[in-house]
Amino acid sequence: MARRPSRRGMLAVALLVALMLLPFLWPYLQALMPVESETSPKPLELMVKAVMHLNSSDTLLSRSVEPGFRVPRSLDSMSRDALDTASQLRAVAEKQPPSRLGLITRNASIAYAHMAEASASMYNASSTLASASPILEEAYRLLVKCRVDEALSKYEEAHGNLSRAEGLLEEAYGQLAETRPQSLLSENHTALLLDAEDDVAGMISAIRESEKLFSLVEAHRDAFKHLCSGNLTQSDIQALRETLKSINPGRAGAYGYEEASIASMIEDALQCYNGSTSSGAGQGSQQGQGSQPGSGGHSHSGRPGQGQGAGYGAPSSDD
Amino acid sequence: MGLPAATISFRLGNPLIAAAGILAAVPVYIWWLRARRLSGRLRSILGSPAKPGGRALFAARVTAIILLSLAASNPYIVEYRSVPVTLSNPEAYRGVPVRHIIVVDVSKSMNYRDLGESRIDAARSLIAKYLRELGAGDNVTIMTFSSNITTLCSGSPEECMKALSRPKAGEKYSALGDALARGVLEARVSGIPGVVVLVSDGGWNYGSDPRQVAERYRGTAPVVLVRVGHDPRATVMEEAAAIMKARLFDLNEFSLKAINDTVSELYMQAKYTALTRAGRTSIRVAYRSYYASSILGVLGAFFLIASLREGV
Repeated sequence: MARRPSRRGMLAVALLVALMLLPFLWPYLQALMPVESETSPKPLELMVKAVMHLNSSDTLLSRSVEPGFRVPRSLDSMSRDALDTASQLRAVAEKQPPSRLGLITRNASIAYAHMAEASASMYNASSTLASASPILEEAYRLLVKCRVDEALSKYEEAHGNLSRAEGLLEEAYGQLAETRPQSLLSENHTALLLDAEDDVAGMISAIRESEKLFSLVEAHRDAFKHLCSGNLTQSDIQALRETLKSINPGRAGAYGYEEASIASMIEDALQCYNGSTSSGAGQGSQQGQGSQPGSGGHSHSGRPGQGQGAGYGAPSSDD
Repeated sequence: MGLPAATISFRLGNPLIAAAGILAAVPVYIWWLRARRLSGRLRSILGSPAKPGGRALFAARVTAIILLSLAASNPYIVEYRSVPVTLSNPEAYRGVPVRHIIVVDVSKSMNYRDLGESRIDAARSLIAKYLRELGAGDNVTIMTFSSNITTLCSGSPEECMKALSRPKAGEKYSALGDALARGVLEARVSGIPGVVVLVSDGGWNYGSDPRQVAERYRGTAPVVLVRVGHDPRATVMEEAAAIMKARLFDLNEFSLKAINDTVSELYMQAKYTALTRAGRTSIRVAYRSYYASSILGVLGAFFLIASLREGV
């Protein structure tokens, strides 16, 4: 007699299989569920999501100009999710009844929608900046070495992406500026909003500062070429004075130290030209040779040949 | 020399789930064995032929249970890759502990106000920001020097932050060379990679010649120099830096405006110097990937379906 599988048994096993598969199929099943349903995210969940997007996009934006930063693979989907969150929040705002609670929810939803929209722009700006930043950094480095033509050509490479990032950041700043802090539901959210505004504004000013510096370098190419050699003409001096007045390393963000180095070089060159003694070339070495170490028991290093002890010879001054 | 090969290890996010899954399968399996024994007895009474492939089915079911239980326990693969230590990937080695020996000049000239503020105040704000950059694993020693060298604090960045208000400039003489030698010595005897961050206006007028000290450590000392202000004697720092192949930072009115970026660059350079001068040309970084869950789940489902071909 042929053996027949029990139907109930088969059903039980199938259920067991389904249950065991559920934990790792759950994320896929969740993705298949319709968004607009009775169980669609509640306004508070959407608002928290908007805050999460602002937080992570702000972090990514700050890190995008750091050396070695890698754009996360999920950046595009995060940006899309931020926009999706914003549109859901706007839908929530539209559905609110004309009551006091409805008004509060409506204003909050709009405020958080602005945040989410700003985040999408910030994600995109991070990605654009990440590709431009190493090139810009290299352009600054070349400029510090007075390799002006190479520096300008590097800057040209980065310029397109820098302009795009600037545009995206302006959009983000506009959205953040439209967010009413009094409509947000937590003081922490307000603090985060203000921080993000500062960071976006700082990044815009850093991009503009680099644009300003490199346009001045382009306009006064020869003056910058002569900066390292010291063969400055009267017109070079005028050009460098104008440059020094225009630039502000404090606004250059992640390129601040490089810009400060350039400003410092210009300042030194101008002082030399004016006959100032600020660079003091030679003085230090003279002083150094004048106080050769003697012998004695100074115990800091305790190694032979270093010249130790208090018998250093009389110092020229005690400062 | 090439980088060491990557290694991979397999870990479970929730090992309890795996254990519970496998344990829960035991009573089910005992029940199934009893049913099977009963069906065997019936088969022998009725004279039916024996069921083929019993052992293969058993193996398939056990494999399915183990794989599905493992899949449900959030497994991940940890891959350790060797990453080269370069200035362009500071994030990779940010977490590697380093000892930072900060040596600050407190001679009289550090009171000069050629930066809008006094040199010592500028140095203090640079060091405060530098301490904030440090990671949890880093430790710090702050020393001051004039004609003598004094240890101000040694410990975590937080502990040293408290001590930072204490150094006052105004002491006689500046033993720059001795301070450099002492700092390098400290860095060398520390059990972890160390770096000396020497902060001075370069007004050396006492003690060992910094250039001779630099000569002794030519190209090997883990040192970063910070020149504060515009002292005409400070070219000695440039010369020492050139001899040691150390990076020299300038703290002047321009870099003070961009103090955050200045400190950020200084920190990256210091950490890079500490690691490379200690011979650490690469570090091992752990990367996690979670695709193992899906693979185990699919394999588990395959074995389970395969084991059902004879029914229950």
